[in-house]
Amino acid sequence: MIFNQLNPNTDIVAGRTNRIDSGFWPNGETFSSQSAFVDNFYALTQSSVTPSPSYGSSIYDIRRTMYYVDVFPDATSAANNDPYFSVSYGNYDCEASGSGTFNLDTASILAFAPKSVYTQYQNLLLGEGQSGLFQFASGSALNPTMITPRDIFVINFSSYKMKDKIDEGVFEITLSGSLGSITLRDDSPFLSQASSVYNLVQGSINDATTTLPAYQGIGLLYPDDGVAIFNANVVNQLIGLSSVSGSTAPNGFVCPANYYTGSIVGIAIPGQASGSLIPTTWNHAVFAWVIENAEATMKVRKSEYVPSLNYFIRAMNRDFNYSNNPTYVYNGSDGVHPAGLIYNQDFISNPTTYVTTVGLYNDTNELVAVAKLSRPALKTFDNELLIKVRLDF
Amino acid sequence: MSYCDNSTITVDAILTTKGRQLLAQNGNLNITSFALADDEIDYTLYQPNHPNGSAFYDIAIRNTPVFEPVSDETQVMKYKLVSLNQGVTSIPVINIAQDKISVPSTYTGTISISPSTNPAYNLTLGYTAILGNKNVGVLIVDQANSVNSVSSTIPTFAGDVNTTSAQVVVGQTFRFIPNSSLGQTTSTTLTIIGNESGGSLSIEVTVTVPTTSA
Repeated sequence: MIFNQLNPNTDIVAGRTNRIDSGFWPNGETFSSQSAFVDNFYALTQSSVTPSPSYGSSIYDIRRTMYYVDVFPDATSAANNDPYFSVSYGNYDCEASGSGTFNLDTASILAFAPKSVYTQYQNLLLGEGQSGLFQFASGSALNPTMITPRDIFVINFSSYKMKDKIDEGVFEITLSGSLGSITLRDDSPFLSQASSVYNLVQGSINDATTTLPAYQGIGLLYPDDGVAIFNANVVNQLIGLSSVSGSTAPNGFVCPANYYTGSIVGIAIPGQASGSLIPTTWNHAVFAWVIENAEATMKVRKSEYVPSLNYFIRAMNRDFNYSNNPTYVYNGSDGVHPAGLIYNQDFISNPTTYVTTVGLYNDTNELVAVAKLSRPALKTFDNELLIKVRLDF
Repeated sequence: MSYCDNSTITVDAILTTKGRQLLAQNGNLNITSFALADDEIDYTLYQPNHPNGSAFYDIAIRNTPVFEPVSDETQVMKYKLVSLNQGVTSIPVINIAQDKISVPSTYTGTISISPSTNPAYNLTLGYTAILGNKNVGVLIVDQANSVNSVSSTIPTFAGDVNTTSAQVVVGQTFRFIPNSSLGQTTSTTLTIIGNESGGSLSIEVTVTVPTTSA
């Protein structure tokens, strides 16, 4: 017989889930040089001199660079259009969108990009009971106060790349502006309880300290969503985003603008005063630039939860000791030995086979899964094989 | 501290194309049985006269590198291991009366295909018959068995059979009817596989189209 039945009570183990951790970056690396990062802001705008992130051939051809830019770990990924994360800018108060020099945005399009972005992340990440503003811990680690800035930078990791989650505790990013650099990590290693959101604090994951640094209201990490939220004003204060326009990052990219939260006169939304904050649509490109401007490595690890079925293949001593392999028998062509006669006398006295492949079949004998052993496994009447076949989904 | 228990071999499986199709259709695989195979092994490399002794008889076989699994279910599990009583000297061999089938497309007689196995085998699950090109004719199951009579897939290796152009039937005996409307003489392969022994037999099938004189 070539088929053996599996006993569902003893041979099949269902409901197992394995967590698989690996680096987030190409080739499973945990580290990636930020100065090698490439974004597609200029690629999708007209030129590095006069980019138009808001529109394409007409004002109705709204570009996604109005909302976010993709960031690639290297030129190869950029050439393959294989982004690893996106950078956005959101503003709670923004009622219109567009730079001060691109008044078509405010006059005609009214796409409200920063407001749209803020609301997207508000809906995604904040609970109904919360105020509607992201809250960042500030001050003493023991007794922090919560601050609620009204504009944010966002890093949104590619779902395809991050699988099920970004690992808290293995996240580090450096931001570099006109005033200097800061390296940030999440505070999960200092906490005793797991959470769905962690505050970002200054420090490296390689630091040996066990003392939680003071909070500065810098940012939040949502590991399960693969999103990091940064307090734009605090980042501006710490590293300087207001005087970076025209600066060149190590990768050669020129910062297209300064961080800007000025107002545009003439926009009146019913029920609200005119002259609301109209942040530039280029703020997200400024934040992408300060990431690329850092001569450091960004450290990110991801996790994947893989449900699996385990099948215990039991080849008992009396089973599978003969083979249909054509080299196992004579084929009858020599006119002396009949077809099917076992070729090797040793295999007649001591039947022996070498297992290389396990096939799993359904009740109509259709081959639905196959597994290969790393090397041939001896099978005789004197031994038994127990092979655990794991089928991941 | 102790050493790792290496009595269990752990391997990862992949779904075959058929498995993915069934999973998408039915939501489950309903795996009920398994089989073992030794596709990569060349048993003629067993060296009972190895100068270093019996521990080295199978050194060439044990060091044979093994391929990674492929998802094409027709290209894996070609040579299955079979459970037989100790002491047998032959592996069950499948026989049929014909060493080839060559008939005109207009043939209306009965071409019976009655596989047998020596020593006796495949009595319960019967045989899988695979006609490589179903344009040449049709296989009909004359005597079904208790398991099933039609298979929607090629369950075992059948050479480089194109799954979409082949006809696969399961039973104890079969009948071949040539395609009377065939446009040109065509040859293909008929493969008979023992569903219990795993052994197989292939013969050539040619359906000729008579030439018409002007």
